[in-house]
This record gives sequence, C-alpha cells and structure tokens, in this order.
Amino acid sequence: MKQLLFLLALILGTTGCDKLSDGVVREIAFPEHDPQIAVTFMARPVADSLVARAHSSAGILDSIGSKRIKEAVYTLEHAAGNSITWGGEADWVQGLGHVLTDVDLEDGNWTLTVEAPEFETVTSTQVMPPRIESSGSYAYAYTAALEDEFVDEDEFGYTYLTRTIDLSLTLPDRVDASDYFLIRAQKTFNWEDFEEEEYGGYVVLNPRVEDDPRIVWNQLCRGYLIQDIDAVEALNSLPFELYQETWGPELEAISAEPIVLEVCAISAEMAQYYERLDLIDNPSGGPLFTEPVLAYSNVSSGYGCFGLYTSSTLPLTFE
Amino acid sequence: MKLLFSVLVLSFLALVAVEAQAQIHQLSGYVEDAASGEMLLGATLWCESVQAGTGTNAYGFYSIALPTGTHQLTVSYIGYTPQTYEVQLSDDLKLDFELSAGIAIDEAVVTGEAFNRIEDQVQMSKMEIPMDQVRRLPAIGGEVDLLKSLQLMPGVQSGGEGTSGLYVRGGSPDQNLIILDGVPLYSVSHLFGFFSVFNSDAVKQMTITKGGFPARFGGRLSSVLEVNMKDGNMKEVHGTANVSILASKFMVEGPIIEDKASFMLSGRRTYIDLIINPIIASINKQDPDITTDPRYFFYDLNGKVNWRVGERDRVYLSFFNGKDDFGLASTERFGASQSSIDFGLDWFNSVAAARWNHEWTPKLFSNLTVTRSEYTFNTGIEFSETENTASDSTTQRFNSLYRSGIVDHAARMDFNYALNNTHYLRFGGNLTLHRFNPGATTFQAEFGQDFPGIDTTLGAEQVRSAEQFLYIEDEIHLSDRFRANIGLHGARLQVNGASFTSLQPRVALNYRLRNGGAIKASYARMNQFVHLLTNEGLALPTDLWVPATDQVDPQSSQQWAAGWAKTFGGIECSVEGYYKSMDGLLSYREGASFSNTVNANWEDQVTQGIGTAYGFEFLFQKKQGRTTGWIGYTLSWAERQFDEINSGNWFPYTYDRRHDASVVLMHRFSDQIDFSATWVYGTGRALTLPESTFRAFVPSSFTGHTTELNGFDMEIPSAKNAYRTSPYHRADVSLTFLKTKKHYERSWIFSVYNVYNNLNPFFSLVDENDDGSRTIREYGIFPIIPSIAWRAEF
Repeated sequence: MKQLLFLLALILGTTGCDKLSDGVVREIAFPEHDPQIAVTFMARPVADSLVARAHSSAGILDSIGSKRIKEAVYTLEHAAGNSITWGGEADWVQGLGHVLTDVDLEDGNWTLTVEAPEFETVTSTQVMPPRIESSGSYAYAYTAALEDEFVDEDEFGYTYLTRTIDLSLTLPDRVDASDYFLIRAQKTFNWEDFEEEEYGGYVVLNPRVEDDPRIVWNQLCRGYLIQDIDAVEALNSLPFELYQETWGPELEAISAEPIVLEVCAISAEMAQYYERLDLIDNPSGGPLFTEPVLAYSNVSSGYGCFGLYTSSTLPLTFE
Repeated sequence: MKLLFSVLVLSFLALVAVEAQAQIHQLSGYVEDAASGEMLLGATLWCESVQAGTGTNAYGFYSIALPTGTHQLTVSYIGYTPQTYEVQLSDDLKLDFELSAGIAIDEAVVTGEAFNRIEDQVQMSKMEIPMDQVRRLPAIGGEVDLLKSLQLMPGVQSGGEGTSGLYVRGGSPDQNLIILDGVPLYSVSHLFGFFSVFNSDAVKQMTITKGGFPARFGGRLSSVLEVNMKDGNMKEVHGTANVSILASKFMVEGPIIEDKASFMLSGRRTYIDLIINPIIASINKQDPDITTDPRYFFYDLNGKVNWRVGERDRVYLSFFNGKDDFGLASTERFGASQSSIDFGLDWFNSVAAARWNHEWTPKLFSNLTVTRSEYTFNTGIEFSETENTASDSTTQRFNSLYRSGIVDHAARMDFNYALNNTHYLRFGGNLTLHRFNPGATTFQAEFGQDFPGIDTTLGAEQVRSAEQFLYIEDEIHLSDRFRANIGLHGARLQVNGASFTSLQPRVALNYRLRNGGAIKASYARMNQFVHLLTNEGLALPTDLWVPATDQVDPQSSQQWAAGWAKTFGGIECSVEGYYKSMDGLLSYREGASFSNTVNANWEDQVTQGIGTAYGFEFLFQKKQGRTTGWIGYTLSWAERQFDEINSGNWFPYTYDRRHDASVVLMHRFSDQIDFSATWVYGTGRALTLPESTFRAFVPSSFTGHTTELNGFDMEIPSAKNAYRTSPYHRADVSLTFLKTKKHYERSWIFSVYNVYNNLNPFFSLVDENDDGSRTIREYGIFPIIPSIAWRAEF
C-alpha cells in the first residue's frame, strides 16, 4: 500500500505542470486547401461602370489569406448569344477591381464565366429581376409625410435637426414569381459640399410592422432584405419609419439635406448570398453558441456570387 | 385512444374471468431490508418446486401464485444474502420477507440463484449499478455523481470533459426520461453541467433502460432513468456526513414511529463562494475605486416521508429542491460618481410528489402519484450610473431580465395485477398539464427625474398543453424457455388547438438456450411531445424546453434490438445490437441561437429533421464479491439530416462516437481499505471548424453613385461536424480508508482524477502565432486533479 501511495505522490509531483500552463491538448491537422475562385459581380442593367472582383480562396491556416486574381477574365453571355468579355491586367483598376464600362444589359438569362490561370473555370447564371425604375424615377407608388420635426441649438452655436417621417412604399409584386428587394438609406450629406468637421448626420430606417417575417435587417448591406412571401398585392404600401438627425452650423443647410433611399429588386441568389454572409459575419449568439452557417454560392466549383439587380433612388425632401 | 382504452378494459376482464377458475393461492407481501425496513425494489423470489418466480415491483411489493402445500421460497437481491424460507399455503397469504445486507462481499454466498440473472430478465437494454458501487467510484473533487457513473456503461456517453449529460444510443439529453421518485425532472445539472442534482447518499436505487421500453414508460425517445430516493430507516436513526473540496452534504433518516413511519432528509451545498470571498476581498482592497464581486453556489435538498397507513396502504411524500446561482457584480467609482454592472444567472428545480400504494387484493396492487415539477431559468444584467453633485444626484439605470421555464402538474395511476404465474399485467394512465414559458425578456430603464422610463416585456407567450397516456403490458411466460413482455402505450397531446395522438407498440422477447444463456429481442416505438432547444456545442441552462405545437411536430422513434446474455460464474455477459430511427428532431436553424429567442418567436428559429443510430454494445459485469466492476465497449454510429442544415446532407451527430470503452474495477482489500479505478476511452467528438476564407464584397452603392466595393474576409465553416476532436481517454483512481469509531464509521477518500494527466479536448480555437501563421488548437480544462474527502456514517 505504501508503494502505491508513493507512486501516486510521484505522479502528482512530476507530471502535468507544463500542460497546466496553456491548456493546449494538440493542434488539429488540416488537409491542404485547394484554392478556388471567389467571384463577386453584382450587376445592374444600366451603369457607367461596374466592378467585378475575383479572389482566390485560402485555407483557414493561411496567414496571407484570400488573394486577388488580376489575371481573371470574365465573360457575360446572354441566352440570346450576345456576350461581353473584360478583365485581365488591362481592365484592372487599383483599389477597385476589374471595371466594366458602359453597361447596358437586356432582360433575360445571363451566364457569367470566369477564367484564370491555375484555377478551375467557374460559371454562374442569373435572371434579370423586374425593373423598378421608369424614366429615371421609381416606377411604383410611395408617399413620405413628415410626422415630427425638432430643432435644438447647443451652447457652441451648433444646430441639431431631428425629423420623423412616415414612409409608405409599394414594391412590384409579380404573381408568378417570388421576388426579393433591398431597401436602405444612403449616407446623409454629400460630403463634398460641406466641411466634414462641421456637418454630420444619419438616417435610420425601420419597418413599422414588428416581426414581419418578410423584412429582415442585413448588417452587411446596411439595409432591409424584403422577400415576397405572401399572395398577390402583399407588397403594397409597406409602412416604414424614417428618423433623420443632422447637425451643423447652419439650419438652412441641414434642413435642405434630403433623405435618399436606395430600392433594389435583387435576384433570389443575391439575397440568399448576403443573408448567409450576414449570419456568418454577425452570429446571433456569438461564435460559440450559434449554429454554424454554410456559405451560399451560386458559382459552380467556387465561392462568391454573380448577382443581378435593378435599382432606383427615392430622394425625400422636406422644407 | 378510445380503442386502446377498450382493449385495456376487455383484456383485464377476460383475464380476471380466466383466473377465477384456477385453483391456486396467492402469496403476496413486501421484501425489505432487515436492518432498516427499506423496501427492496427488484428483489426476486423463486419457488423451486413449481419452477416459478417473480420480482418485487417499484414499491417492493410481490405477488406469486402457488398451489396448496409447503414450498421452499428463495428470496434474493444484489448485495444481500439470499434467504430460503419454507412457506405453507392453504389459503391466500400475506408474508413480508427480510434480507440482510453486507455479507454479499463474500463470494461464497453468491450462488447461481435463479431468476435474477441477466439472462432471466425479459427486459433487455436495462442496466443497474448498485448504489454501493456508485459511492465507491473515483470522483472529481471527491463529489460522487450518479450520472457520471452511468456514463461508464455501454451505450451511454458523456457530453464532454467533466459534464454529466447523458447521450444514450445516439440520442440527445432531452430524450432521456429522468424520473425521481416517479416525477420527471427537466434539468438535472449543477455547475453548468459538471454535476448532476442527485445526492448519492439520498438515493436507494437507479436503473437505466436504453431500449425495449416496457409500455408503462413513455414520453421520451432514448432512455428511462429511474432514480428512487431512500424511504427512510424504519428502525433507528442513521445518517451520513460528507465533506469534499467542492461541497458538503448530509443525509439523515430514521423512524417517526418505529416500523410505521419514517423520514429521510438530505442536503448538499458548494462552498466555492465561501472559499473565494476572502481572496476577492483582499484583491478589492488593492484598488478601493474598483470592486468586483463574483458569486457562485449550488444547493439541493431532498426529503421524504414514508408512512405505512395500514396493512394494505402506504403513503409517500417527497420533495426535491435545487438551485444554482451565478453572478458577477462590478462597481467603479469616479470621485463622487460611480457606475456599476451586475450580471446574474440562476436556475432552479423544484419537485414535489405524493404517492399512495394500495393493495386491493393479494393480486392487485395500485399506485397513485400526484406531482408538481418546476424548472425555472433566469438571467439578467443591470447597468447603473450615478452622478452626485453638491446639490443633486442623478441615477440612470437599465436592466433586462430573461426568464424561461416549465411547470408540470401530473397525476398517474398504475396497477399491477398478478393474474397467475403466466401473466403479470401492468396497466394505468397519466395526465400531465404542462405550462411552458419559452422565454420572455423584461427591459426596465430609468434616465433620471426629467425623462420617462421604460418598462416593457418582450418574448414568447406561455404555452399550455395537456398530455395523457394509457398503457397496458403483459409479462407472459409462453413456455419454460420462452417469455415475452408485450404492451401498448397510447399517448395524446393537446396544445394550441392542435392535438397529436400516438399508438406505440412494445415487444420484448426472451428465449432461454439449453446452455443457460438467453437470446433477447425487442421493438419499441416511442413518442416525445417536448423538445429541448439547444446548441450542440455546449449544454447550458439557457437550453429551452418547448412543446410540440401546431407548427412543430413531436419527436418519434422506432428501435429494434437483439442480443445474447449469459452469466459465467458470477460475471454477467451481454451483447446487444440496436437500430434506432428518429423523426421530428429539433434544431436551431443555421445561424440561430438562444439569443434569437429573446426577441423573436422560437418556432421561427427552428427546423426539424430525422436521425438514425445503430451499433453494438458489449458488457461484462461482476456485481458481487470482493472484486467487482465491469468492462463495457460500444461500437456505434449516429447521423442526422435536416433539410435546412448542411445543405440537406446527412451529417454525423455531435456525439457520434465510433468507439467507446470503459473499464471499472473495485476491490475491497479489507474492511479498512477499499480501492477503485476507472479507465475510459472514446472517439473524438464531431465538430464543425472554420475551413477556408475568401474575400466578399458589397457594393457601396446600388444606384450608381460609386463603383466602390466594401470588402471583408469571410471564414467559411466546414461541412457540419466534418472534423473530430482528439480521442478522449482518462483514468481515475480512488483509495478509501475506513475506520470504525465508537459511534460512527469514518472514511478518508483519496482520489485522483485523470491520473496520467491526459489533457482531453474541451474546445477548439483558431490561434494566430507570433510569426503570423495560424493554427487550430484544442484546449483542455481538466488536468490531473487530486482530491480528498471525509465521510462519516452513523
């Protein structure tokens, strides 16, 4: 028995102190990552310029991470046969990506193909969502009414203006399709006109109906993703509240500052892509307590998304 | 349900009519401990002359039909000396038997008494660890834990290092029906799952059933764990006191009226808070402007009163209360002002039960149980800021409190009818009224005298449901070699205007081979009307009990099992294979968590799927003698599939463990020295890890003002549970020195947890090294842990 006790004491005294210090059991061996193309190309039918980006995916243990692929060549082909090709070093703009200029895409099916040396070619197909703009204006009904306005001035001569606006917005609601939309407020103020230090402000957009399952906040897009779930006419007169707060030395300048909303009709794939990325990037219960989310991609054998959307701006001004 | 009721009544009447024609007498009564009067549950009686036997039921009652004449009746029970009695029968006779404990460590008395060996039991997949052995197992911190001892049995797995959750045959912890003295418990853990709520000193017996469920059980898919508290010593006052490095506990029992009424009271409390308070106070003294005050404790209290009202009636009243309280408060002072934060988290279990046993005839025994069970979980946080000036004091305060829980009121009636030695009937019914509170959050704020405050409550509304079941089962001796337990369990739930009905057939067969072994087979369909909404990563008190509703289906399963069992010289050997399919499993949707249920309806955060589990279990167990213990091994697979998780592909369940082995050895060197050791091995837990990264972009503007893109790096997880942690293995040892003093027996218990210091994985992190490279590391939390405990028994 004494020997047994001695043995136990010896074990206690001589083992394990080093392991206690950092708690590390072991390192998990990972299989080598096979880099794939990660594409981002979000295109609308008419634009002066659009940007496509291609990166290589990286293994989680790769300290350098995802790298841009300047050599990537993009081909956008319509179902009718017409196509556009751009990319490579020639179209690369530092800080932006591969820029496609003078865009004019017709309705229908588009297929994007991305080729790059040493990578498997990837493809993705999209259908143009419904157009929501007519003659440069939003093509559906909306009304905005000023509910409340409050002006305050502090001891340094700064003026603060707060406004609450009631917005009613109608979105296209096709009987034979389940469409997705994105609505968000643009940054308030055109900073070129004012000294940044002197003027400031923000706009908050909120749906009036609590827990409406069709309207979900997306942190990455800084706006609400709206899904057409219900039956016909379900997206008529959606109620929102806008709250604007601006400040600066001149009341006239901040009063004239418009609220600009961006409304987009986006493809289902684009909506799902940003919905998933947002869940990954902003886990509701923190990384430990949230069910892991698989990334969504509509790009064959790669990551990322080719998305088509149509958009319009809604400038709202109140004197 | 009506059909089941009709079948039940007709069967009963038919069997009564048949029995009335028989010419036999009924011997009935109780089997009890000679020293304490404690009822012995599952004791066996064997009559050699008629080759018939029976066992005591869950209340120690037996009933056996014997012809007129003199019979030799052998009564036996694990850990007790078998006794043979001569009984003369000329009429129905009521006779109580007593057995003496303590002598069974002498292997000589363990003869092959028939009828209580593993091969004799019709029910398969049922295991029992004698409480005497449970108390001798090595324990972390010297705190013996019932559920952790069960984790050493094949088919029962632990959730992770140190935790007491049970994962039975690929099932999740909510699929275990844990019954304390007839009352289902919802949360059975202390200290975030590291300890179970059961005080081993207060427990008389525990058994776990993993499959082949008799019809009297229902409501859960994977297992039934029956824990019976001691009734209380009818003869004299006895008790135990136990002091370990984590907690102290006591148990006292004795007669209120000798041989008529008894009581049992036990309690346990940790003193982690008492130990660390002086340390915290001394740290706080170093900077008087900052005060930190952590707190944690748990306690539990068990009580029971047992009253023999008359020859035919017994009444039991019992209660259980347990609470965990964790919190952290911090105050920072700035001159005359101060800000403080107070975070708290507590959970509470309360159970009360009243039971009435009545012996209607020597053949018909009934038990009526009326119970109330409550589980409550609260977590809250409060921020406050006070600004004091010479003339004024302003306080701003914000607090939020999240509450969830479940309250059950239930009544259950069970009948045991020993029709003859061929048919033993059990039938009865149950009504449970559930009140679920699936989470509500109260926000309160005050912003000083000049501004209005906030006082609002958000969250899901209470859900009330009514659950009923009826059952009938018959244990049939089809021939000398062939026995069966056939039953039907019908259950119904009404909730939110919806109702669910389920008929669940149960069959268990036992065929004795000529060489003494037995082949067993079973089939059980099970249904479960409650779900536990939990993240698979960690079991927390935030896990939410929710009912099946009009939007969320109940869970159901079918389990087939087959096996072989034989006792070789006191060593029980069994091999079982099983296949279980599960439907209606509940999980959070991808990206959802407990926090989503705070402000939104939980039903919108979940998705349902299916699962399968199959495998083989081997057990070699020696229950009596100086050297006892067992070797268990499980080879198993467990997979799940949800349309909305993992792209709809099947994935391994988190606790899919291919190999799971345990070796338990206990040896009594002498009356003064007792030794025990365990070794466990398990395949690593399945887990999801971040696997790759890529750069994603969102346009700065969707309307053409700029071509800029906002970029961010995304970490992409692997397929669900595509990776494994390192295998888990650990050895524990314990050495107990006993000494008999004048008025009590004291023990010093020295134990070492994880004796060869294998740091087992608890969680994994992606770490960045000094040189910028990255590594995924597993971290362990429990190295070698020696402990000491003192125990007195009087």
